[in-house]
Amino acid sequence: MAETRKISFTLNGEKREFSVLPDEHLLHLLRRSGCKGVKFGCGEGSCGTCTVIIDGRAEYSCILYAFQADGRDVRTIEGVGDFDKPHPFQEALVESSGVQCGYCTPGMVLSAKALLDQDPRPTEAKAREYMDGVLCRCTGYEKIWTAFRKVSGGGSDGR
Amino acid sequence: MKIIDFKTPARLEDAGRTLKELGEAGLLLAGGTSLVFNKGKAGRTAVDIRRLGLSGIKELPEAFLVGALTPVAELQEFRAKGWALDRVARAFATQQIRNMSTFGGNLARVFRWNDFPVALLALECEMTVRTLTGQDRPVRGSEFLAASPRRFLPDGDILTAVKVGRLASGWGFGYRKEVRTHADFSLATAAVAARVVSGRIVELRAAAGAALPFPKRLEKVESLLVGKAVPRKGLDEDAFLAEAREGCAGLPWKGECGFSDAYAAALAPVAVRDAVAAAVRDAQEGNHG
Amino acid sequence: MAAREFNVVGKSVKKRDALALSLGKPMYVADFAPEDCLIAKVLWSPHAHARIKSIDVSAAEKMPGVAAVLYHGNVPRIPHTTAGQGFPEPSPYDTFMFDNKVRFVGDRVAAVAARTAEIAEAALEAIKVEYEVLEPVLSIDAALKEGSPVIHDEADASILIPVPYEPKKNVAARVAMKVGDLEKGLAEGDFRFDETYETQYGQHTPMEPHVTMAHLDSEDRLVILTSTQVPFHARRIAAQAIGVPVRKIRVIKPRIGGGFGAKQEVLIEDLVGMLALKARKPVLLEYTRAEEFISSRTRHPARVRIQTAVKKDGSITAIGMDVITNTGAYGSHALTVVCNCGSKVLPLYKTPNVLFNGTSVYTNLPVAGAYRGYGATQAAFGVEVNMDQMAEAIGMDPAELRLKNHIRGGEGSPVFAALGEGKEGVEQTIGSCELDKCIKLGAKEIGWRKRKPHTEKTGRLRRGLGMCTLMQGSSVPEIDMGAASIKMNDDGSFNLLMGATDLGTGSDTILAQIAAEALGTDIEKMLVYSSDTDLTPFDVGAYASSTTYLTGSAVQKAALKVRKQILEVGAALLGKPAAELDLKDSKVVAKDGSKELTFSQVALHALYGANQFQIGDMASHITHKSPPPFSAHFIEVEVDTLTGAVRVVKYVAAVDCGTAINPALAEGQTEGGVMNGICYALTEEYRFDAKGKTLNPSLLDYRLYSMRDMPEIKTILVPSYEKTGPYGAKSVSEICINGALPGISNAIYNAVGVRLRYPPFTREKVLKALAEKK
Repeated sequence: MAETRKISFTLNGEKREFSVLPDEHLLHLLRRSGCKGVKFGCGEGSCGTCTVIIDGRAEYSCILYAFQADGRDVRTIEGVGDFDKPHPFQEALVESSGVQCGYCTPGMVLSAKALLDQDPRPTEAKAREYMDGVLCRCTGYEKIWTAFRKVSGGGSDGR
Repeated sequence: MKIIDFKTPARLEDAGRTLKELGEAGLLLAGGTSLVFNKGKAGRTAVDIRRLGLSGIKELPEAFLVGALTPVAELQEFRAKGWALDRVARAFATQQIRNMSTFGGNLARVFRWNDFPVALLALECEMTVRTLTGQDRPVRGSEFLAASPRRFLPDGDILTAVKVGRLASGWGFGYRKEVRTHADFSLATAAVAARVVSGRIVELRAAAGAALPFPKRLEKVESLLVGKAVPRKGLDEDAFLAEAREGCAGLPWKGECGFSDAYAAALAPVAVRDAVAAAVRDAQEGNHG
Repeated sequence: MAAREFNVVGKSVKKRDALALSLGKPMYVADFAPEDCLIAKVLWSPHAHARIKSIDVSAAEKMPGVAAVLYHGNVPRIPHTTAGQGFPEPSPYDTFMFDNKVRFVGDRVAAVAARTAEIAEAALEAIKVEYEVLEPVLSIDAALKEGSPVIHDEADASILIPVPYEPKKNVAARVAMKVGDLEKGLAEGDFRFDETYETQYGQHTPMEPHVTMAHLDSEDRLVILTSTQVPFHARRIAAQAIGVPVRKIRVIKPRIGGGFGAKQEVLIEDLVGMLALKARKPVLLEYTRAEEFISSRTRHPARVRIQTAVKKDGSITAIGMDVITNTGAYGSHALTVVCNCGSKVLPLYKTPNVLFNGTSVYTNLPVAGAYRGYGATQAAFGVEVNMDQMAEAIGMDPAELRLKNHIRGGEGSPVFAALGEGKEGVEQTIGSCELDKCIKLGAKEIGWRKRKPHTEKTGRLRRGLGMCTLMQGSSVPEIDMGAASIKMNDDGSFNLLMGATDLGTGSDTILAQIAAEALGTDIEKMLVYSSDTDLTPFDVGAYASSTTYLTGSAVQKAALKVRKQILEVGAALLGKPAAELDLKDSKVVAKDGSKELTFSQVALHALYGANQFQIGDMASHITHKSPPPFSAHFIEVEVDTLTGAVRVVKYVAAVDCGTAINPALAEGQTEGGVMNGICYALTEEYRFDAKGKTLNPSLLDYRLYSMRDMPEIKTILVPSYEKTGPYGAKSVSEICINGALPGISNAIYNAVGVRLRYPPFTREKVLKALAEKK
């Protein structure tokens, strides 16, 4: 059995130290460290429910090894918004009825946040490109898209 | 494959040496997004070279120097005269994968469906391989991509950069990736670089992959199209189709994901045709040089 | 949108859990696993058909960190069905927790609970199994062939209800009905069509795979926290399979990450419960995505033969439907899905001659079960393409043909009484139908008038328009029951407790809307708790498009009972007869405006003042009909004649679901169903090797659309008013998934003149059809 190793990274703004096994994926580490909003959906980087933001970019934590996050800035859904002050996209999702089962929602929120932090008013084509990494089986994406356009300067039914 | 240990060397030389020592048990780790396809049980030690400063796109007078560890997303977002690889990057998997995967990773660990090898065969390029002795060894792109790169990268040698030719005046680039959905693996990939002067294709480099066991240049297609006249405006829907079909005939097209070989053989020339048309249009629009 | 105006019903109030879910709060099964939870892993069969000659778990049992190992030798052999249906289930008892025979690649062989996933995997590898490999049955034709291997040759497989069950012939179910004379009717038409369609395996791919956790509580009762659509059936069937009384088990459903029918199944609760009992520690089993594809449930592949005939004036003289479904290795939902092929499709068009034959066969392939649409998806495909052909033959607009023939308000169909869910159906007349308006509005939105025949289309990229009309049902009448209880709190708020399962559909929200409407209060005052077999009253669960129509009525009834109590307390306090009072804005108000009391005042008095009692009550409901929602879908596609690629340009779904309790959520159901239907029509399929192994159990190769692929979808809610439903509501969640197969096939025909009857309509199939046409 392999030995654990020490790594450290900033998690939702706080510098943290972790003991990890070399083959432990970041998803597993985050969930056992209390970040239950990071989800397991496929384990092979194909569905996006495990999305986290690393150094400002959306990545799949299920195929990233925990040690690959060493020294980096990691943000999970737990670090985005709260009941009193949700992120504008979270608020828009609620208002646009863009949440059904909710399993893909953190992934969608983080994908959107990563994009909007970089480009607050992306074109439609760019937005679709940057939001293409999270699958949803419930909504058909319609109302998620409506919500996104609300917060990205595209109007409520702008396409 | 199971990662049983990891090393994050501080310098490239250390990485090379470590890889040499580890031999078969070592694993060069860039983005790591292709590891999910390695289902074996063998224990490997990852040598993480992501943070050795091998990332970034530098503009040179006639080329771009792209660090091997440059994330695909950076290629997706880079804009400059004569740069066309953003189109390839944009069609690559999903945004998360583009953020995680590296240009070099896509070149050095070749799966049949990899995108950048096809594109680079159509463009002039030169690979830089850092050897164990600390030398930088240039390898022509066509040579590097002719077969599995592993033969160029015996344990210890590391691909560090690729010099990609800048598309000059009169040149255009076209890229087609046939997929079931946007993020799918390719059913057929075609990349074409064309130079159009006074209404005629004077140079053409065409390459195809995914539907072939290995990406390759389509010399026959090239010879059929070089010298061909093209209208100033309004290419016909089926312009270049006959040449593409003739040029693609007889190659070992292979269907994947449930598609038959016969379908792959029918699809590939269309992808090539579309890429040629896109390259010609790109050239005529004067987007480069 | 509603045909009538209400205070809370008919408004798109916010889904009550939407913010918490957006914040990523821990709300799903796996989020509740304690630190010391054991991890379960299952050993799956590598063979499609085999007997287990011997199985040795001793090495696995001895491994450090392994807490329990199960296989057929150390669990009770109790035949049951995994189908989440009411008792007695209309599915055969052909499943065992573990059997000494395996019937598909991915069938259960053994299971382990261990301290870590790694140890569990290692333990699985240490289990030695010797198989006697048998010849597999890998298709409908193979199943029905004389002398084929018998998949369910065990003596103890049976079915509880008196329906045909012939496992020795690999037949899991048979059903038939007829009206008039099919042959005679077909002969009376000016044009007749006899077409066969074949739909493929598909999986629901809920983003959250199946997951269940079980532990023993402080009273040594088994508590099963599970991602399920059917908590009460799960309790009953898990108890049955484990061999303990129902009272020994509590099932709790927290938030679940989608189901779509895959979780209308008691799939792993028995196994996880048993492991927890043996290990005496919490056990968590989380399916991998591959296991979700292979070893959970799928849509029934179906061969659908549709014979229809039409007169020049557009009247349909006969419809014959012959369906054979492939139910896979076990028969859960076999009978009911094939029944629904007829019952949810045939009544749509009026015709004097109908013949329906349905058969469901066993094969050694992944197990089919409940999947949104539930037989209507497969059968409507056939009928709606035949309709398109008939319209073409008589030179009539396909929309006109529907307008001319569809069932209308006040009308009935002999099919309703003849075809139920395993037993006879329930007669009904249509109480609400705005299908005409759906057709007209949908046609307008897509630009149906600009439709040209395929013969006029030129160029490489060709566009086409196609349409279809659909019906479904709302609940299973006379059979399924739902109940709700409501109690009032100090501050005038109410607890609404229901067994009904919200799987992301928003049923918690809309049921709270119904209660709030009946109680004269606002949605903020409703506290909802759903799906806990100890604390919430019975509900069959989320299936058969039941929750709004069935449970909604139970909620309404319970609320009206509580309303009466509030009025009585208010009357006593205000000194006015209850008949002169009303409930409005969370207050008891005198109708003449003279006096009023807040709900809080009423509650405080009832709880603490005088004649104290808990204001609250429970109500149950069964339905007596299954009023169909109706829908018209109009689709524009673009076909690339060189690659065969089909792209949906625009998809219009106009739907009459009665009153939409929450219009935004009703739209959401439609949009999600439509997108699912599109992917099923164009990209989704299972590929098997020659030995029955699934080759593409991965989202990397089983392609779903992302936000980058999505076409333009327009939903039009067309209100009607269904008197028998709560505030006029019918169902909405299933019907929308059935339009893509026929609508896209018809649109492809309009684009390029080829009829595709074998989904998914891949590029290769399109190209092949185009080549054959030349």
